[in-house]
Amino acid sequence: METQTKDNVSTIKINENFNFSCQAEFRQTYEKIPKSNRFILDFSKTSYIDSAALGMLLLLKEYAGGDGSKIEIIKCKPEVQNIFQISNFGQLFKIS
Amino acid sequence: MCQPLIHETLLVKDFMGDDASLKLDKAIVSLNLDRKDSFNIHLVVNELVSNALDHGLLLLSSAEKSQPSGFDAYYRMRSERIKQGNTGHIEIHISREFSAERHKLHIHVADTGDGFDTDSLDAKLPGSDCTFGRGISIVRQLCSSVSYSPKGNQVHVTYDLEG
Repeated sequence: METQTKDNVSTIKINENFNFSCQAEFRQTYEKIPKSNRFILDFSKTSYIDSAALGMLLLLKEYAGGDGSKIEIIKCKPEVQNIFQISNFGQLFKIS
Repeated sequence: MCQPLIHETLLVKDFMGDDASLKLDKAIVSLNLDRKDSFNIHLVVNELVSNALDHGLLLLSSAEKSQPSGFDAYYRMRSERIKQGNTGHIEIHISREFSAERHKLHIHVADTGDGFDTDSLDAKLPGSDCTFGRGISIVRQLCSSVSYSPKGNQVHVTYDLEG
């Protein structure tokens, strides 16, 4: 996954199909980024997610310091945003 | 009135490469749903099929996925077990019910495994920060009904179409 870091803000461009088959790739991507950075997850390309993707996002949150983490999910398609919403992810991540 | 639309049989070996997911994608595209329904049905069918494969046939436990290393171990074990020549299979039936108010899709997924104790499901619904066990809770949110056969190896869900 493509990443870009500037002034301690790292943007990860999430795959088109963000499901269990990306779990290793996603983890290897965020583990290269310092935990204390602000993470921006760009979902503009993503047209499909599954339940494992939600688990993967929670593992990133844990990596980035749990409640003190700074993670923002941006540019979701409405269908994807709906899944975050019904899973109460609005309480755990900043979604815009 | 109920119209049968899809009947697919997936063998464990179809999950070695992309065969299983390509077959399902093609079947769902053939339903000609609008974008949101198509996305939701894709998700629901994939979650039900993953549960049938992972837990019904391959006997994997999702609790492994509570930590990063567990996620890796889980999917490594999954691909190893897929290659072990398991003779089980999964049947997927989708039909459309026409009604005056809202059209519905009925999705039935059955596996040849031993099933599970369906009473244990309610107690296990995950909290919002739990890294596993989310598949069935998403299915419950998206569908108007979800029911298991007594043995637990068959699940029937009803999805109310928006489009």
